[in-house]
Amino acid sequence: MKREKRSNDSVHDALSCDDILCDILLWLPPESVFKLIIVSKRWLSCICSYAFRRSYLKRWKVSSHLLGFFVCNSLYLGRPRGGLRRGKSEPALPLLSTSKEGDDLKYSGILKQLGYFIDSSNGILLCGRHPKTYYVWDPITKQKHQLPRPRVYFEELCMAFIVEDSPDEAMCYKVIRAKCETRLDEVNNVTIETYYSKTRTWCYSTLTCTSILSLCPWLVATVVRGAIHWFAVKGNIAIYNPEDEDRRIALIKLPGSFDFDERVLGESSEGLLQYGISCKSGMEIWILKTEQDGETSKNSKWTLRYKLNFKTTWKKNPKLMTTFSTCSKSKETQLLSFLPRNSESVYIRTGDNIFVCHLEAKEIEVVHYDGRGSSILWDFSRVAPYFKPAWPYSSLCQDGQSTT
Amino acid sequence: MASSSSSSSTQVKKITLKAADGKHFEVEEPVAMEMETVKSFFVGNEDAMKDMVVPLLNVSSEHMPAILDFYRNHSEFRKRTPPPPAEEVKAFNEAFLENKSDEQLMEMIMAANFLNTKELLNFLTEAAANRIKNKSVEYVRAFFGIENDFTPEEEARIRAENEWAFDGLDED
Repeated sequence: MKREKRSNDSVHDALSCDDILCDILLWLPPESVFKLIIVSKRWLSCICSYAFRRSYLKRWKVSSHLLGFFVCNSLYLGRPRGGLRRGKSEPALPLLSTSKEGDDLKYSGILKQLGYFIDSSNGILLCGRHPKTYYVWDPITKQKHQLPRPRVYFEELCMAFIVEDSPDEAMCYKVIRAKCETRLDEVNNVTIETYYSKTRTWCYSTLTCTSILSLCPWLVATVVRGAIHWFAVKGNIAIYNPEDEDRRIALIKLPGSFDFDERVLGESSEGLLQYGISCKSGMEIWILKTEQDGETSKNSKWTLRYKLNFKTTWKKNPKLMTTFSTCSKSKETQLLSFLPRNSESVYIRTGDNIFVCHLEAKEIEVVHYDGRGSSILWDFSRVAPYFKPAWPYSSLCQDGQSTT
Repeated sequence: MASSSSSSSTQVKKITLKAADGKHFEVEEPVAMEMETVKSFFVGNEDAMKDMVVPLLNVSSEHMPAILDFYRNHSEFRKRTPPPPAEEVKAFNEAFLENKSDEQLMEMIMAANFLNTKELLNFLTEAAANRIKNKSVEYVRAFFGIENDFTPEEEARIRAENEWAFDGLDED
């Protein structure tokens, strides 16, 4: 910087040191810091940098923003031979957009090239068609990876998708396919195949469990702090941590009643597994707490965090109730999904309407989305909110980095 | 004999620091050792005598009294049992920043960075952040004396790529 703005040069010097600039910016809350990317090129690359992001996320909770909801019709995705075919006019990857960014994504045409929606992690999409074709797509850099063909064939399977934070632009992720045992004879292991973006290969392994288990097919895992959680049959969840080298899969009994219509898993604000179930009368939200029990063994315990009656909750929101005439339909209210790393609110729906329900205050807000006209087979579809982490990105950063 | 040894132990050793402009400051040893830069001058440097003058190349004498005052007070706060009430620390910190211009604040941040003292640096960077919090981009540029080096097209592109970041109000 040649131009003199101040009498004293030291101010420029102070700011020419990236450490000091970072130290100052680390004190600013998210709503204040991100718009400063347009101060100058150096500030842009500093705020977008991996080093700053790492330090910042240790100090601040940065929320993600909702782009919309992906509809994943399980009739098509895990379609048995001779099963139901998707109509020509029906998009494979419908997005119920709730934002401008969602609209842009929807009309960009990319969604037509990805097959069906499977999962999203850290804003990155995993899509494709079982059992051979999988794509990973980054909406920010627009990078699209087609995974090589998996090496083993599973009649029925479930998936997991983990995106890791990486210091460079390259996506870093794991895709796991796990076999769901359909045989009636009882097995205490699970066969999985893991694709790791760094090695670019599928890797076959067997996980063992101390008890007999079978995973529920065609679902995706909920990943909490690197650990994969799959629903297993007979009211269990199976937990596997890919970082553990002993290749074990643990089984934990799910709490609450088995008489439910919907059940979902998610991550709580404090980074614990949460489990929600809903039936006609209401919903329950449970949290799994793990305590170190002695030297080696861990003790996991479920605690009921919220229990809500749909009818009384709707009565607390009379205005919405009349607008959407949900009074008579209150019995149809269902739990839809958790929000990322959030235990304060959940998504619920009645009919075609999606709402966010604030659990503590029992307040309900409507979520407006685009695509109401499309017919959604709710009973056969998973409707998954699509969140993108709120972190600035600029294509200028790549070519701008060296200029400072 | 006995009296001379006791008098030397009660008398706190002093270390002489030399600011960038050559001015000397006599500082009690524990206070001087709050600065990692001074500490590392002596530690592992067997030849360094305690009566040597430590040059502080990046610290102007203008800020030395205030900085030393900060160390003295904060090390006293840390030692005190029971710990001082939060209001007392807050009152000291507020008084410390009062009448300091933005430029003086930035110079002191530079000094704290050079002296390598986490506590002072954290305190000052937080103060600087508070002064630019919720301010407009224009204000921030003026505060730090930064030239906008984006072309209007580039700025528009960044805004478009990160629309969500600019959703809120663009106040003062």
